Amino acid sequence: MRELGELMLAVLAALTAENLFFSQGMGFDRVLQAARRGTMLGIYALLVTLFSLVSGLLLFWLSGMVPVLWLPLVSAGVTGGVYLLVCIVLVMGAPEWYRKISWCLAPAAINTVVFSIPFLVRLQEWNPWQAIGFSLGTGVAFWLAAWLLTEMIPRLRHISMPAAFRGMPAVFLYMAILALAFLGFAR
Amino acid sequence: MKLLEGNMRLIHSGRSSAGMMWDMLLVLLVTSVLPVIYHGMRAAALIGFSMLACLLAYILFQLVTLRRIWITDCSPLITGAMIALLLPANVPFWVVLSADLFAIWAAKEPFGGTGRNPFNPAAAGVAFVTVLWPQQVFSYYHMTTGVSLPLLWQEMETASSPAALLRDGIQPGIMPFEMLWGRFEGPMGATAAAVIAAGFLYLVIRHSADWRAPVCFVLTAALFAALFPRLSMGWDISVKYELLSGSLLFCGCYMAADPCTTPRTSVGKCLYGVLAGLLLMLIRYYGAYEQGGCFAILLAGAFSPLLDRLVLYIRREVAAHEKQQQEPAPPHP
Amino acid sequence: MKNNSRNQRRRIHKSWLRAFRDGIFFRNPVLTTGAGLYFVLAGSQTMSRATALSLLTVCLMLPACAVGNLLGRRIAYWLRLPLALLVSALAAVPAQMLVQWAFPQTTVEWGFLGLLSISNAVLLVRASRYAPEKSFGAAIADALGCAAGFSLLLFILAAVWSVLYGMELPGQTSFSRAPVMVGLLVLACLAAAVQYIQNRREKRERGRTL
Repeated sequence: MRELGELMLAVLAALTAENLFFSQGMGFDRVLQAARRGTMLGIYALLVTLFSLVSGLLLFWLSGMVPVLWLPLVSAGVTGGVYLLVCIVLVMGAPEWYRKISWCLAPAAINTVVFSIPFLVRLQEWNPWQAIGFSLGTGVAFWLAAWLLTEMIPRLRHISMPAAFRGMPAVFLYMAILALAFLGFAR
Repeated sequence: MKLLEGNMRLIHSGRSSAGMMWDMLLVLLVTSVLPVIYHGMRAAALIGFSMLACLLAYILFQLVTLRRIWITDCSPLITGAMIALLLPANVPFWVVLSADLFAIWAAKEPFGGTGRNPFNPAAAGVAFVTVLWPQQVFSYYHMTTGVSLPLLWQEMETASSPAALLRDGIQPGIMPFEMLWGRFEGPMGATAAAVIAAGFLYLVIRHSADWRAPVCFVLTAALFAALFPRLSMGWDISVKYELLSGSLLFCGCYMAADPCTTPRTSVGKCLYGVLAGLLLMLIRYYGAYEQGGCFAILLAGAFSPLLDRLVLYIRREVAAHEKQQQEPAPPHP
Repeated sequence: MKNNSRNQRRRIHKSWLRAFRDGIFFRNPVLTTGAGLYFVLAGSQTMSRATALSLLTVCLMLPACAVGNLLGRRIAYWLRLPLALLVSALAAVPAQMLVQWAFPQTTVEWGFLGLLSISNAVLLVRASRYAPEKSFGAAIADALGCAAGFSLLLFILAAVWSVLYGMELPGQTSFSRAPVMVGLLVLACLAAAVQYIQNRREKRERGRTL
């Protein structure tokens, strides 16, 4: 239960932060519209699950051989490597698909790095099946959290809100109360 | 700065938002009668203080942000009453004040005030003080010692609530029937099940609350308690104790009926009730606190827009499918 | 002719200063876009940790943005992000050693926080999107400004935590159970303050132009 709470918090923090920032170049509204089409969000969540699964298993295998100081480098390298591999495969093998999903490839890879943090903290205590379970859970949590935020974030800019709180401050408050709610599970 | 009559929308039940809120306030004031009888003037002082603090916090926020103050908006009073009734009678006043300020300044007004808040402010306020001061929130003075509660706080002998005993797998020493009138340790307004049920019935009859979410909430909790009893006395005893202990009924009947934070669709409300009931029982069984009503309401409230979207999506798909079936097949060339 | 070039130089330097100032306050990446939120919340528990992480952020942002500016336009668009990640990961090891040498008393979970530093959205997006499109000076000024803004928030949150832990609050207050919530509440207040000041500035400028 506690891990669930921590995972949801990591997912929400990364989603808000990474996706709001990443989408500045393409227009946040366009990202939301794309995400509202269920299939796009499902593909995004699938990519996150894929990246988490592959990176998680590789990290699990490498963790015994790598000292703690080098772990961030290895983890980033693993994630970057998986991202590059997926890009190359799509660009060469399925350019149509690459055009369709390129907007979410990079955010999915970077999100994976943040989502892996609760996993890294417990790397020594877990077995491979728990690692797989965590990766699959990450995808589900991501999908849920993404739906939550794409529903809520446009409402947090309503004209009836005080001007100082419209947008980002309201998002922070929303996340603070959600974090409070998840503390009900934290023993 | 002007004081204005409330500019409330009519909703399809035929009642105005202001009318619904005044009904809710009346029900909460009636629910406050038994705590005042059991706990004396301190209970009245706490409830009054909480309502006043919420009202002043609302006015102060509107003044600072140069916004209008709606005189027919009694939602701060409702929030204040709910917060006080969800806390023990021996809780210090500063805990109540902290909950009130958080409810109004963090969970309600920054999001646009009444009708725009994504979370139930009373649930947010109580959850806030529960996390920061769990000792104060879950310490109930021993009602059966016969010592009356002083107006100002002082150290008193405390006892465990039935919810805390259930958490340890111990059967509470009070019969379920005696729990109907709330004369046992617990949140001061959330223990009198009979009064809460009567209040809920009144709201439903007056169309000031929709019955779907609360009924689904309570039924889900009951089903969970029956399937996974924490007591070895039988599923029926487990269900009675689980429903009558803690703030389950209060949260289910009053907070789960909040029209601002629950879904708009009927099916959505049912799903919301099921989700909130399930979350509450999970928090009770596996979570950090003996009572998780407020946390469950907050979490379920976050999913309200999602549930509406899901229901509308399914309806659209079903309608499209039916239309396709009804359309005559194109003739063969 | 000389005056023109001097004025042009002055304008460029002013724009760099503006980029630096905006990165700290008006376009603070955390307060205005929520980037690096998780990093700020996780890294601000103590003052010494905040100091160490601030130095780490500066040591990672500068090389990442510099390399992003120099090489970014010569490579495919989709390679910019992995390049930024690679540079920050490579810079992380000497940066961590430098921080450990500078602050030997600091206990930091390098695995966990190092990963957050490398994958910091501010760093990656600034290095992959902003730096290649601007001049070298502007990219470095922006990198320093964002790093400074980031560090400012780390210090503010760490200060709030030291005050909360140091206070004699009644009733055995358990702030340690809710670091994320308290951090987010503080950030919400700061973001609202920044937005309020920004709104007032924009109103004044609109009034001036009318």
